Amino acid sequence: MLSEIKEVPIFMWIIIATLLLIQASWIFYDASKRGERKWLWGTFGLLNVPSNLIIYLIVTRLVMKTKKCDYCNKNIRKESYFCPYCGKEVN
Amino acid sequence: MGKSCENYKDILIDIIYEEKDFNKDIKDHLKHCDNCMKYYKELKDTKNRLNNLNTEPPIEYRKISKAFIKADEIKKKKSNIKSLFVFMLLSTIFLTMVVTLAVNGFSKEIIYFQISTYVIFPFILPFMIKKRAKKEGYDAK
Repeated sequence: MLSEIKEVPIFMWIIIATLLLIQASWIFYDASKRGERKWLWGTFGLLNVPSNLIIYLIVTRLVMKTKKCDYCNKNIRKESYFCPYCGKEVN
Repeated sequence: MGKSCENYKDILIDIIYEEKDFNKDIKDHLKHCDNCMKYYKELKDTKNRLNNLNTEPPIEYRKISKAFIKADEIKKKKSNIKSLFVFMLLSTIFLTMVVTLAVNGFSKEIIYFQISTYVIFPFILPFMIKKRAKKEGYDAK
């Protein structure tokens, strides 16, 4: 199987690289918008396509659900009763 | 009520604002002219009432803080876009290097790296999530 990889044409590598770049950039921007660790997630997005995107979506959308604080507008965890940034009580 | 009364009224306003003296001429006019006297009393009454009022305008702190939040968001968005460009530049360099390596016969190693990341990540991820939850204090249930 590995010997076949040597015969992969160069344009295939370029297509994969472009896809990786698009994926990583989107993950980076989304992570920075959500206040996640953007450099870590962006580098993570560079390693694999598309499984890392799926992992990213699962982690940020399902595992770490967030909501916005009514008072300071920052992203906080959905299960929190008090905002960790401004200390106000949130429902 | 002639034109002179209008003039006196202007002067009375100035007196109320303490910009002119309450001189004899005006005193004499007020004695004779009931209209101007009434006007002067009204002015005085209004001034007293205004002094008693709390003249400080209400400040809407909620609105002000919202404006600050919006300004922060715009600033954050700008810096996010800046760092996105830095990231894209760095990753383009990285991917060019990888593609060059792959084309020059290192594709086997790259595939091995891919396979190892596939195997390792499912083990690392729960650990990282747990660590973060601990850092943010959500594991105290």
